[in-house]
Amino acid sequence: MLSELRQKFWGYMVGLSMAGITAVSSNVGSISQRVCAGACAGCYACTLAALPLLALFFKKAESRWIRRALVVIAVLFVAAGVMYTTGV
Amino acid sequence: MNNRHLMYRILALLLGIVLFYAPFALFIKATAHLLESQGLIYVVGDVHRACLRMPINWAFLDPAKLISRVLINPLYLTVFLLVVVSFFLAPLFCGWMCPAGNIPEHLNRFVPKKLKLNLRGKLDPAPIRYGFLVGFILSPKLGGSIACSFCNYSQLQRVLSAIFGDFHALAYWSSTAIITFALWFLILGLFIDGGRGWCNFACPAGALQNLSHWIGSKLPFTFKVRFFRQRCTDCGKCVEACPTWAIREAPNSVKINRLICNACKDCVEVCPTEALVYSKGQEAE
Repeated sequence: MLSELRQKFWGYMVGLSMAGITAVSSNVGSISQRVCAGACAGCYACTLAALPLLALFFKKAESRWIRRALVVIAVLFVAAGVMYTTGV
Repeated sequence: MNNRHLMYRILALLLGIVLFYAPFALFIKATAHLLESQGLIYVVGDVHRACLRMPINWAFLDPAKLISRVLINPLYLTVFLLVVVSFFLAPLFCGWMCPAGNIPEHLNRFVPKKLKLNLRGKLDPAPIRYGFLVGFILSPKLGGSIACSFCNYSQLQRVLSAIFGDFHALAYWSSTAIITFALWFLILGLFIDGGRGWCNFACPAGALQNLSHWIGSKLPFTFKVRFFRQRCTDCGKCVEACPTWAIREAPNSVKINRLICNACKDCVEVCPTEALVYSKGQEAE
């Protein structure tokens, strides 16, 4: 029962984090102006920083495919960050 | 699975594309045509005219804006129409017609099982989905709404437009849109067990419909997938067949998670003893 509640709690946290990441990524320009005073480069480093949270959550599944998927997602985010910052 | 059932589902998906997606978008064009006669002008006939995303934000954060936008474009009410239908009949749109969920699910059948992520039974997707919904609703207050480029429903419109010759649609693609497509359509679509990663983890319109279904399913006069305990032989076929991982095995029983079930009825089709039935009545007997 406790582990079920814990899983639900982390589930909500992951969902909220996903929404936060996508909201930040959606508004990198305006947020950097308003909150970060121009410090945000739109490099997706924040997204990468949130990935360990996902990794922690998915660790329970203990599947190598999940770990591989996370690596693919990380590579995609880095590639997107490079594209974004270089203006592609 | 029963071939006839699969054929009906694919026909329903084609109907969904024809009704909502450009270049057809018959529902949108027909409604727009009716409204044009009242002096309202529409430019584009595609999913963006009946956006399922923004009205949710407006309904929770700025009802006055919702009313003013609906007066300009009543098609924004589409998402609320789907919520009402889900209350009485379950989220049939999600399970049968929505291209963003059904295209990856059907294409997923061609991907070998060993290449798919299998989280069925290991992860309850409902908390993630509703955590995302809460974040989605709150985000405009905290910094800015989640952009169109992260909406899988919207991205698919651009892909379909390109397939049907409008390559200009793909010019919109930015790095974020590529992430959306790669993450939700490929990795958590084609390469995840069931093919419903977008529906399971993110879709806010689907989450609202399921919330409505969850409430409606408590009432005896609403339609839902019902479970008849005495007929169940614990074969587990329904658990494996469910694309949204909504069915879990329990001792001498199964549990249907109404917050995820999209009433595709695949479980009903594979059940050899008719222990699962889509009809009105109590949830379980």
